[in-house]
Amino acid sequence: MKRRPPSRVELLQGTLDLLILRTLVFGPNHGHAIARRIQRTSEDLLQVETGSLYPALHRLEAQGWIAASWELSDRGKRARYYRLTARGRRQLEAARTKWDSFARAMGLVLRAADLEPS
Amino acid sequence: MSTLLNKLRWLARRRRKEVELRDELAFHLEQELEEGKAAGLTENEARLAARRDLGNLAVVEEDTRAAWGWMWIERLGQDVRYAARMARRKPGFSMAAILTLMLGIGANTAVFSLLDALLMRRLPVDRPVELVRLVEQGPDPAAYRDEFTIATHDALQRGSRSLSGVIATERLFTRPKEIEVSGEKRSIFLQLVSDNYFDVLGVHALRGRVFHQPESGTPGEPIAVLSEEYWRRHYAADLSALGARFRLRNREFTIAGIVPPGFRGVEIDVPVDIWVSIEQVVPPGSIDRTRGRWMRVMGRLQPGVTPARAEAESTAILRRPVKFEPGAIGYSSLRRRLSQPLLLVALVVALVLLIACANLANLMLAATASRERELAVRTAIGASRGRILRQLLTESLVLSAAGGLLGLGAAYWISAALLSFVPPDQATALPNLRFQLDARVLGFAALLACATCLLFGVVPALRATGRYGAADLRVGAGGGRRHRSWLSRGLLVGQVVMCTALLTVAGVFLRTLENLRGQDTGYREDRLLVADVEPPREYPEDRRDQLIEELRTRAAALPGVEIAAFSNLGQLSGHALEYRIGFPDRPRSEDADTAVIEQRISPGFLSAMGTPFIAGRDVAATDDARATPVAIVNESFARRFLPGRAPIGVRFFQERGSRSGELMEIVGVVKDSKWVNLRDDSPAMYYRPYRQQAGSPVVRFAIRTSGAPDLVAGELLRAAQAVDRRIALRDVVPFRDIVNRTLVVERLITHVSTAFGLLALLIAVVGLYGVLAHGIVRRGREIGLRIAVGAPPGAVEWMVLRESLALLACGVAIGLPVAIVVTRFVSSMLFGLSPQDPASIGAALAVLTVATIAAAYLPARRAARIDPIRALREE
Repeated sequence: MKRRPPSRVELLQGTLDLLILRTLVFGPNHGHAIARRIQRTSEDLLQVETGSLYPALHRLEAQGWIAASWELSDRGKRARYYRLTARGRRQLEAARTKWDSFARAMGLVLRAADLEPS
Repeated sequence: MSTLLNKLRWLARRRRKEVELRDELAFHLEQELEEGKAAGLTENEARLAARRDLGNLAVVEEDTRAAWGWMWIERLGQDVRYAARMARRKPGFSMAAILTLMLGIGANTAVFSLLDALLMRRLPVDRPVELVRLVEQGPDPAAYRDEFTIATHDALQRGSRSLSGVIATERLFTRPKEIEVSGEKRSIFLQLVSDNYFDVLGVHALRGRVFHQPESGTPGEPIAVLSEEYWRRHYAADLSALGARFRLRNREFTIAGIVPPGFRGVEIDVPVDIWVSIEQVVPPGSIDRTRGRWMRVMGRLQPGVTPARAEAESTAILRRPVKFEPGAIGYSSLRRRLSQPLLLVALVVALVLLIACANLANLMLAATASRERELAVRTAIGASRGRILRQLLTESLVLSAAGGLLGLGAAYWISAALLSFVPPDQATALPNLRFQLDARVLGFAALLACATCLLFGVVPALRATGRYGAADLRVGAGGGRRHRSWLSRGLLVGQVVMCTALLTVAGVFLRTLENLRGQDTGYREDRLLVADVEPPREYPEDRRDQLIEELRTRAAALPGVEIAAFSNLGQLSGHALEYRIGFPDRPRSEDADTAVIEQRISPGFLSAMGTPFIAGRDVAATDDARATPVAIVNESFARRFLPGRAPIGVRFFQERGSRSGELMEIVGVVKDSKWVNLRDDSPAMYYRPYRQQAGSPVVRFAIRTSGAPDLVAGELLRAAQAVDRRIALRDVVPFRDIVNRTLVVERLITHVSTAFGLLALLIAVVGLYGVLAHGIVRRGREIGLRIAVGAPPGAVEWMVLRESLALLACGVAIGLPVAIVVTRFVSSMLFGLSPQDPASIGAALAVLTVATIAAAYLPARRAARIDPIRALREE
């Protein structure tokens, strides 16, 4: 049985693409490792469902933001490795800027409530 | 573009990608397994955990494939293949579905193509929407005219600023004209048109040149322009036709050009073979330019000018109120006559298609209900609701697409059947009305196929996918579904409603036809042959009359002929000569309408027609130009002018005409007879001896035969040849055919509504039978139980029958008001009965009831014979 962290966060709609692109900045990797990496980096707060991971990878590939090739994994097995393309890098920048301003806006609004005299 | 190529490449590498995806997911599972084992799980536990974590493998694969894009094509292909397989597995259902759709879509497409040709298809000219037709419309609807003098055209052409051009085209009748080609007569549809005709319409020569408006002062050339079709037919598309000469009204013309295929002038009813400029035939200053309205006048609006402005301007120029109607669809007298009947026919065939859809929806409901298990399994292994919905809809689409394709073929035949009602005197219009497989017709058929697919496919598919979960796997095929049965009953009621309307319409038109035929027409149409006889026109009049009399004598001597006679005009021919009459002993009054129809007859004509004498005598051979002028009058004449007097011996005269003032003595009275058509009352008429009036270029022979009239037709033709080879005989037909021509609309609607009404009934009966039979199977256990606790077979039969009779009653209760609305809408086409005719409605109800009982009988009997033991054991 998988140990589920007590306070898991649901992925927001559409953010998985951004997470995948970001993760691939550190170099090519296969699907399983990408999922693990997201999980670890988020201190187990984010759990990537396999059911949405592979469709997302293939969608990004069809859009030309990532490219795939078969490589040998560190354990010597054939695995499908994804790497970021130039277009993917630009997309990542754009998406990250958008996310930052979104997060800032969310923060402003949510914190503004605290300053309000009650 | 690059993404398109990309996707195409994806598609091409699809098979490899499938394998790759499977490998990729396998690798993922393996990684999980390793992790699990590293965390201290046993091999088996780790494997299970990995699978659980991945979830439904098929769904993951499916979702991933969806990311590849363009999957829908793949899926469509899959679905179509699967649907075709399903269709083959139920050949009876599929055949019935495709057949009814074929007939439904075919009939609708055929009617659409006819309506399109008559009401919508634009002339193949330059910017047709700018064209307008000049009409004159008084306050009285009957005062509508669209024929004008040449002078009207000339005035508008000179004076109008809002029209960029005005053309005049001769009003054509359905008889061809004669031209002389190197000494030989040839019949041809020739049209006189203004010399700017081709320029204004924007029609250019395909070969050679067309005529144009000459520079002012210079005479135009005597040239003619051929249609491509005529060129192909008579000159085998040989360019030597250019330069060929022919004579028309003693003038020589040269064929100078050929117009592109498809252009046959602006008259839909009469495709033109050859065009000649009016200026060449009717010179300026000729009396024919101001006398006689024999021209259509069409204009082309200047860009940005509204028809209203052009109307105001033209009204000012002509100094009388005129109007412009849209000219893009040209002229057609058939349009005026057939539009309303064709719209009714369109309604009839649309109802039939709706009934077919309702019926199919019902059968589909039953079919998907028996597939519950299959659908539940597919849901359980990961098919989404949308996916199954799409699959079911594709199955409907395969059926309707097959029905639509075959329907195009059926439309060809149905259109031919509909066109067979076009009377022979309008047959020239047929090439323009014939079924053509063009983009519009194809589009319409495709649209119908899609619409029917949605109509009969969506609801069953939604129902079938609505409540499926894994739980349904446990439910057998007999799971109760109250909703479904309400829906299917509703559909049956809907079919009964539409059938009631269709059968009632068929009923009132059958009765209309019967009433028209059953009335006293004033002649006997059985054993009566008629023929239009035309002696050569170049003979002098007395020679022509001599030939006619000779032919009459020969015809009378033919075996099987009882009486042979002739008159100047024919009953129901659509023509009449009217004269105002006066009586010497009465003051002349200007206001009184004293116009009466005159017919000039040979002795025996009235007897040949079967018009009975009430008093007096027939005209005799001795009533010739030297004898006292005599006349026979009909009852209406006597009632109108001589009420309360004995008509025999009274004298009257024509106020105008070549023999005005000459006194005629009434020597006989006959019964009234129909003149224009079978609907209108018989007009007041008088008959004169043919030899006491001016002759006629064409006469109508009436030959009463002792046997079948068509047997004499050949003999008559040979007799005419023997008298003079150049006598022309036309329309040698039993008089019954002439009568039928006046009933074209009534016969068309009666035939169509009867045929399609019965087809609709058949569809509904099959549908009812199907639903009942399916219901019996579903309720086998319940019925078995009833029998087991002692229900007699009669009670079970009655239970099934009662259910279908209740449906019938519901349908009829809604259907009757609907039917009456429809028959009210067509009340102007009925004759001798009210739109709520009890006999027609009663007949429709009787037919429906019998059909319902017939459809319910077999299922009811089967229900009564259910073996309770077996039925109860089954589950």
